[in-house]
Amino acid sequence: MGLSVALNTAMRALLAQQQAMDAVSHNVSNVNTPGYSRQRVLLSPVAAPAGSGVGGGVSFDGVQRVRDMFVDFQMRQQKQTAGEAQTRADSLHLAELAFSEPSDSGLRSVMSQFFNSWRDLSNTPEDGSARSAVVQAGQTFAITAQRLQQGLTDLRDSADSRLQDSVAEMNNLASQIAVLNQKITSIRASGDPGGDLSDQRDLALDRLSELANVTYNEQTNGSVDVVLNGRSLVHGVSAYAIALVPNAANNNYSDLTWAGDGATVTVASGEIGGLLTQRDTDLTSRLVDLNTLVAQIITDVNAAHAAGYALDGTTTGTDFFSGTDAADIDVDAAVAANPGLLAAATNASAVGDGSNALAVAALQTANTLSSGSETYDSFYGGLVSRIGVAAKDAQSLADAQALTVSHLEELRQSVAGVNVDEEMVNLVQYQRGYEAAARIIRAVDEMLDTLINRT
Amino acid sequence: MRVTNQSMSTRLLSSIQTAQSRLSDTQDRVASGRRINRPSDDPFGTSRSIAAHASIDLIAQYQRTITLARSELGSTESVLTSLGDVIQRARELAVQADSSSIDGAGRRQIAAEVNQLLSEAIKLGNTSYAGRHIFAGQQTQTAPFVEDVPGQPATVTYQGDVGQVQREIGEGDQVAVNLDGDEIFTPVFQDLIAFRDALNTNDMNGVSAASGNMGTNLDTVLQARGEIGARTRRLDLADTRLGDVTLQLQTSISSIEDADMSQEVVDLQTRETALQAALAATGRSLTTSLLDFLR
Repeated sequence: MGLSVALNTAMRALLAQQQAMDAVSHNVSNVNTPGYSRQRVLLSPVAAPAGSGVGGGVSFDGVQRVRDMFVDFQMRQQKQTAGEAQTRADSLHLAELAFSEPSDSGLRSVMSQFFNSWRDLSNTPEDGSARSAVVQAGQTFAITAQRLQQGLTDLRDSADSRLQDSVAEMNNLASQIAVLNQKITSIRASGDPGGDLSDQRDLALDRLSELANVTYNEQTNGSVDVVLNGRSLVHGVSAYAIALVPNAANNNYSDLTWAGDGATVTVASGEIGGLLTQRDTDLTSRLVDLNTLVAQIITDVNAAHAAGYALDGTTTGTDFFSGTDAADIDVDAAVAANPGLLAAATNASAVGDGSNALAVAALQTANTLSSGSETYDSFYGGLVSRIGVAAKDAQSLADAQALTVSHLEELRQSVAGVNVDEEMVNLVQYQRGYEAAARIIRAVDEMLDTLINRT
Repeated sequence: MRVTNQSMSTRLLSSIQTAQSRLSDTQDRVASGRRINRPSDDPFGTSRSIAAHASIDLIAQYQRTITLARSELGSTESVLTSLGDVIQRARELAVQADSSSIDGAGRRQIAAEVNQLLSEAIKLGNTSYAGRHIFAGQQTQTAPFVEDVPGQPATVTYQGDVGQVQREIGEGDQVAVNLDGDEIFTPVFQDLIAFRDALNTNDMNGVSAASGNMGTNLDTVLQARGEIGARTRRLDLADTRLGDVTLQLQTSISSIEDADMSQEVVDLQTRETALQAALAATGRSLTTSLLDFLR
């Protein structure tokens, strides 16, 4: 083997160590880049040419992205549930704040004051101030119920508008993935593994998995197909958009459909799933509860009130409340204008008779709700406790999922993340390799000098 | 497991955040003194507390009503005492007039006093308390007794009704605070008028009947006072019972809602220590690097 071969081998070694140091430099630069996977240099020995016993040095075979696809898959699964639970927990916490229980300022207290004002009226039915107090308490009850109804509706509105943002983000991510698919397939065709582009795409997939229950599949040409609800969201280089269509039957809130053909999209989990659940289930069922309670109170109070006689001793059959549920409840305009119309008396022409006011007050302790098994107070207590249970469950699920996700993240980092100390060791190693290769070149040079000038 | 710079800082950050959020929960409870600051802190406890608060409000209302009813019964009682005095005086006059030592002129003088007693009795029957005529049944805005000739009535007409004025002192528990004015007063008026007229006309049969009649009326009044006393005792019993229930409810609300302060303060200190430890660990871990040793 000639000396020039040795020079060549040493030069290849110099280049290989240099490229390896480039990789170290790339890794160190991206130590804090989200979603970055460290890259490992692939070096291999050059096999000896036929007939020669000694190998031809080192060959630089490119860089490899270090990544555990199974951990990625696990993590995306868990992120769907985490996103859904956290979104629900956030809105349910706001809903329970709207009820401000337990306290002396919530609907419970207002309800007690309302029925107690009827008891006061029964004690002094002739007294104008007791009558005004009933109207006042009735109005306070109506306003409080309306405000609660409004509070829950506002939360539904905000879930709907956040849904619009999230769907826009999902469409955007799908297009990004399609574009990256195109870049990755063409760069791979040219022999480059395209590690950094894959990192970007993985980051987009991570976020997409947080948004909705997508599944994905990597093809042999390097592109990734994403499936949502049984249909392709991304297929090769094409992304299929989701459109939001206002549904008149659901408060004009948006339904999710495929922009292509208008078919319905069902999103069961992820942030979008969580927003849909809170908008159409969590908050809606509490609104239904609230309206059931208020509607029952309106019906019962009006029926009892209509049976009695007003201060003039002859007027009967009037309603106390107007409206049908929590959205439009108010004290009847005629009664509000003239509290003398309050039917405190059971008997006609009996100014001192407050027994009908007592009959109205007695509704508070009657089992009129849930097929005659619950009072207003216990039904309301159940309503508040159901919100509390839902908020607590969503929060503990969100906490548990966050913990799982953070463990998986750590696992992923332990495979794919950059450790600066490790890179420093590699750096020293490659630096020494470079120095050694340079030393060989000097040795060969000296040998050539000996050969040419001293012989 | 392989540790990386990102995973280390993420883990350290999450330990700090966990420690901070646990500390903040305890701080909330210590500052508010409450275990339940929102329903999700204890959903079942919240619904029990809502029920207990509703009962307490209801009981407070019953107790207010009991106070009112007690004063109403008290005013009825004092009217009956005065009426008893009037009847008692009439009976004394009846005994005095039913004597041969008194002549017609003397009896006419006594008749004048009886007429005064009658006016007094009518005034008592028309007593109003807190703007309500208490012997008029449910016609509380109408004076119940009207004289045909003011000052010298031959008949007194009852204008009230037999309606009872009920006060709710417990769930489904009502006490009437009025008595039937017609039943108590009308016989007294009739007997006083008859006595007065007998004295004026020197009708000795009428005069001697008066003493017995007044005795009967006195019995009626005493019976009515007994009835008032019985009702007042019922109010007292209900009041005591409601007070006991309130105490129980308050104890149970406190055990549901209030934080166990000594426990919370201990937790607060433990959690502060945990946060400090997390911060110290972070401070030390982040500064250690191989770079310090490669010179």
